[in-house]
Amino acid sequence: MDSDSDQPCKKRCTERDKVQSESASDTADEGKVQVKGAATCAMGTDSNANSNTENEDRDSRNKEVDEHSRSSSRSGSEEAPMPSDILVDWVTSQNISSFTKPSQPCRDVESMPSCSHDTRFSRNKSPANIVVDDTGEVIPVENLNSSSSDSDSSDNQIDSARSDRSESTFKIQPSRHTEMTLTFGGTGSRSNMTHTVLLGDGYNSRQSVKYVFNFRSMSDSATQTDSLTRETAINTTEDQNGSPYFLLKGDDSSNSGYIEFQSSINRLPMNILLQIFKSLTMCELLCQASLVCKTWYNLCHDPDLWRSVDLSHQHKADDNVLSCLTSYSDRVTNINLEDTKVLTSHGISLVCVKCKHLQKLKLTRCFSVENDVLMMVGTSCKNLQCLYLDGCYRISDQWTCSVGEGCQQLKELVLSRCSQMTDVGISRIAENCHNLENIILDHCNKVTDQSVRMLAVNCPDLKTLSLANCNITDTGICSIYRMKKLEYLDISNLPGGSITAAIVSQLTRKCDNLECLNLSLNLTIDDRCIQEVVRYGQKITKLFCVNCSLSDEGLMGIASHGRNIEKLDLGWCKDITDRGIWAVTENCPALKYLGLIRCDSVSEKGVEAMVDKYPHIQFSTFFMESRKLIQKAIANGFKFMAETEQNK
Amino acid sequence: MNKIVPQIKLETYEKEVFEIDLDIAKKFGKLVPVLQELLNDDKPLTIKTINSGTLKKIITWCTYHKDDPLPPEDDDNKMKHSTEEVSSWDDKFLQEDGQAALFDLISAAHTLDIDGLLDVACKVVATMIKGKAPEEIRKVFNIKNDFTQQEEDQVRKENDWCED
Repeated sequence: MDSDSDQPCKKRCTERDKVQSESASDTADEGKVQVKGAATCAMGTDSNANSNTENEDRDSRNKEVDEHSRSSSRSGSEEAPMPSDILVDWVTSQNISSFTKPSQPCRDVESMPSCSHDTRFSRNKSPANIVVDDTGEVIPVENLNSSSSDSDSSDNQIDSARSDRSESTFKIQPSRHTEMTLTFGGTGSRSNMTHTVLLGDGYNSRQSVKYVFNFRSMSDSATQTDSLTRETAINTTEDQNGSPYFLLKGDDSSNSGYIEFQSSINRLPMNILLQIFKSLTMCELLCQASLVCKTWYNLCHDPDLWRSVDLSHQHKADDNVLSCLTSYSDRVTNINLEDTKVLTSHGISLVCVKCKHLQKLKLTRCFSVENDVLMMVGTSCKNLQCLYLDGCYRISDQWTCSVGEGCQQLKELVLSRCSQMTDVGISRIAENCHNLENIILDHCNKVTDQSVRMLAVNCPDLKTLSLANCNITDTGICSIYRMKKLEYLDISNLPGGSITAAIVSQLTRKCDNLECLNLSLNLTIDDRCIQEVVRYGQKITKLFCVNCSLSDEGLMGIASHGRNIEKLDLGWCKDITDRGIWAVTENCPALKYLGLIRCDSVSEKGVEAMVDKYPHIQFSTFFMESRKLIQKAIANGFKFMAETEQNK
Repeated sequence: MNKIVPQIKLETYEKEVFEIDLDIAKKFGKLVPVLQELLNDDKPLTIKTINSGTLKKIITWCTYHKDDPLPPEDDDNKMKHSTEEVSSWDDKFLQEDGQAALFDLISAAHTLDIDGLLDVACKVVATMIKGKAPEEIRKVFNIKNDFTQQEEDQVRKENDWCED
């Protein structure tokens, strides 16, 4: 209500405002209207006259409402003994106005500022009544206005507007409640009745308000309880000043209902909406949330949500998409392009040049990636820490100069199946990236002992090393001895007979932080080696010995020292028997998983008995896995032939 | 002997004063030092943007989660933390009073800087969005579609490469 007009009505309005603001700041003021428990807004037959008598009436009314509210039990203040003083911003002619207006209330709302409401009042001949309270009970207009002392809200009769007017606009000043009831004295016929209810300036955007509507017409003696359907009742929105209003439409079938005028989701602070959006996947953001409304569309493209761009498995995402998504934020730190199909090496290069703050780049199985992408990464992304290149078979050693020199923060490098990589490239990385902690080189079969030596010399922080299927011999294993921080080591499937058991058995003695060791597919690993490994590797929790030369003797060693072993895989060790397995299950208290696939000397009966005795251990045998698979298939509705025939 | 638990006083929108044990109010992030200063003060701290019902819920939540470990400081763990699922108690607690109350609660948690509550509440709202078509989302949150048909088609076209 910002106006400098001299109209008397306007003047009252400003006085009223003053009163309101004073009462809000707790100053004692005779003029302030403070009502406990209930706020009532009365829509008189003549708003101007009503407001003239209002001052006189006010005190008595307040008392009355006060009493009324005390007698009525209020929900919402159960525990607190304190009476909740509720300040009512009394609805005056400014606050409630009603006028006949043509079909489009929205347009009128925009011109709603109070200076124009004189003309509206002149048209205000037979307005509907509106009663607002917060108790869910109805306070009759008549009683309130005539200051009669006995207002009994239980059997109130609403004064109805006897007119055929089917459209009206109310503006109400919301009081400090979270729930109000608006009761409309309806017209004779409510067909196509439309009320526009405006919320006044006092509306607190952080508060939810629930309005309960009752429509009554003279012909309805009993209160009808039909609910308005949401569709007809709710259309809350805001006018150009950000003041909320809603439209209310009634028809013959709906006489009452409620609307929750809530602090809607869009009234939450933007950073909270962003936090909500952060829990959505990219697809949910782009294909669902961004289509809801323009505010959401803009929020969905907020830089905050695009620090990390994940296009993994998006087969249709092309260079344009990648370029677009990486342009929302100028601090993209994480790009995941795993399993994308149509991105080109050139497109990825351009993005890498742009994203100078990149910390993590995942190009897993981006088969188009060539050396030029990584040359760009090296020159541009100085903060890169993680680089995943598994399956990028086109890359050779060439890029390592650039990345080695440029990305000295590199901590994690995955080069699985990059079969063109040789010792030259790996050595260059090792020499430059001293912070390297994890390096995965499995299936790089041109990588030899030389690489391992360079890593051992240059990267003291190395924690993870995978050399599966690399060309490693005992010399390489001896280099590993120097990696004192090593926690994870995979030396499975090394070329036939290239490592000896005696060398491997020293590993855990030298690298005493090892937690996970994979020795699978090395037939030279024998019982004695495993015994030594377990005896000295007290931190080892995961041990993989698939297809090693193990017998029950080795298992006895595991049983006597492997107190911390949680996961043990003995698959394809065909010499081990029930005796060895029993020893392990009985003596390894931490054991949770035991892999026994194709341990053909272990009896199914024995495993069944162990499953019964140690239900916390997951036993993996061919039989158990098959059974699981069948159960899963049946659970998914698959029917097996034998079963269906039986059913017949 | 009863140990006197230090309490802080908060006044809500309805001018209702709540006394809150300090060990519960320790969830109030940045507000804690302010509250501690006011500890010996008889005058309550007035927070006008929070209503009584919401504050009651907040006290209930903070009491229930009183002994939770503090959220990790470093980013890595925070990321892990943020992918944790909402416990069924939280889920029920946050949704039982309807959407409006949930938004009030979020606003209040924001005001009082209760990270844990804000986090779970935002996740609960996110689950209300997940798996719904735009039209359904509008209905659920009562949002008006202010796109023209043309604009909406344009946005759809922009994102037609995106697959679930």
